[in-house]
Amino acid sequence: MDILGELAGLLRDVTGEDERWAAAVTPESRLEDDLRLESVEVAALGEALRERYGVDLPAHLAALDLDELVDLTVGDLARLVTA
Amino acid sequence: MLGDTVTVYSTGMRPYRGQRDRGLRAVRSLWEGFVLPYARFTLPAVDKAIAAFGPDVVAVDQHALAGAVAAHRHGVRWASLAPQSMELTRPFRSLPKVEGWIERGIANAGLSIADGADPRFSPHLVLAFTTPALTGRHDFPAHYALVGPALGTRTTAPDFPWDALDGPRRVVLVTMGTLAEDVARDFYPRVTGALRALAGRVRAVVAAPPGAVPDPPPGTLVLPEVPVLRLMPRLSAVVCHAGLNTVCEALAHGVPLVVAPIKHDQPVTAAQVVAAGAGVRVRFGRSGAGELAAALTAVLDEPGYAAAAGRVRDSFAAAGGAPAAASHLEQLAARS
Repeated sequence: MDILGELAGLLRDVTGEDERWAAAVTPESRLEDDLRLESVEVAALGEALRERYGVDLPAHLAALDLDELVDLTVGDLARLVTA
Repeated sequence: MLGDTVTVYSTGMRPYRGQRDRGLRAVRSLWEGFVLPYARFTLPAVDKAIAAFGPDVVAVDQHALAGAVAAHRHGVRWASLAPQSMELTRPFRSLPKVEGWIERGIANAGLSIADGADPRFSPHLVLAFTTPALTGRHDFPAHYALVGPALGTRTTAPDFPWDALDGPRRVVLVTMGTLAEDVARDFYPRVTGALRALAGRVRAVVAAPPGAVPDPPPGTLVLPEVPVLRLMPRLSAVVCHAGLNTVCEALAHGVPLVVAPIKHDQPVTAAQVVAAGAGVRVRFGRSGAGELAAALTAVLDEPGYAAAAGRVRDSFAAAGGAPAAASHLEQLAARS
């Protein structure tokens, strides 16, 4: 499966949303403004990314400034897990 | 509101437009759109007030930075008041660039204090209206006083149909805060679904404007204003947005919580409630009726939640509240 589809599936798992919601996720979708992730969901996503890809999301977020955090997209996550 | 014939002169303070923002966007708009412009705007007036009144101590809300800057200018000791959870336990510790952005914003707005003190944190006294039973263990410096909530007594309370609470059903208060009415519109139908599922054993009091709560189950009281403190002894649980005031009012009475934080310090407070064992956190934007009903059932039925809320209540009672805060301010004033 492509990375976008995998990430959309993980996002669906942590939010409890349905397949239609996951199908509408694009690389441009922003975690905060578009997907409306709440902090507990971001924490759950971090766990899922660590398990699936061995990626440390909190360490990645710690290096971002406020504007980058607000504008963080699914595409940014895709770059992180394929880096 | 004033009518067409009235000329309105701008104060120079733009209205805060971030009320609908959440998450880190809300943090950005709070500082850019409110805290910093408000501090700049009020500084001359606060400065004048201190010069005219000659106080021994200035008590400054952590988000009203002008008081700290003006007090320092006049050589007056000042105390920081922490009426919410955002500036006490460093919730952005894991996002150092966000902490740095706030510090730079304060400096760039000309609100730095000459001796290097952060205007959010008095070097003399920081009064926080919570206790470590709720904040968790932190290495608070010696000049931090955690006095618990300053509840006081309300001189006026809205009318309430007390007789309606009689009967065997457990009473639950739902209150999402005065600022949340607009954004809570899609939360109420889900919470109503949860209340309907529990209608046989729960009677709900919902603090909300008329019409905001569609089709509540029979017996539900939907009222725009509720005498929250007087109601507390009758409650078995509170569902709220995790505003620190409501959370502390509930915990001061040993009432466990279902918390659905929306923004600002609410996620911080919600995490503290969960860590203290005094409630269950749900998702304001997404938890459905089933998830909300399960959360409410848990805090009603599992005695651990009420027991943990009781431990926080005891810590609040021991911390002294408003009289303790007043003594700390008196001691600061008397220091020479």
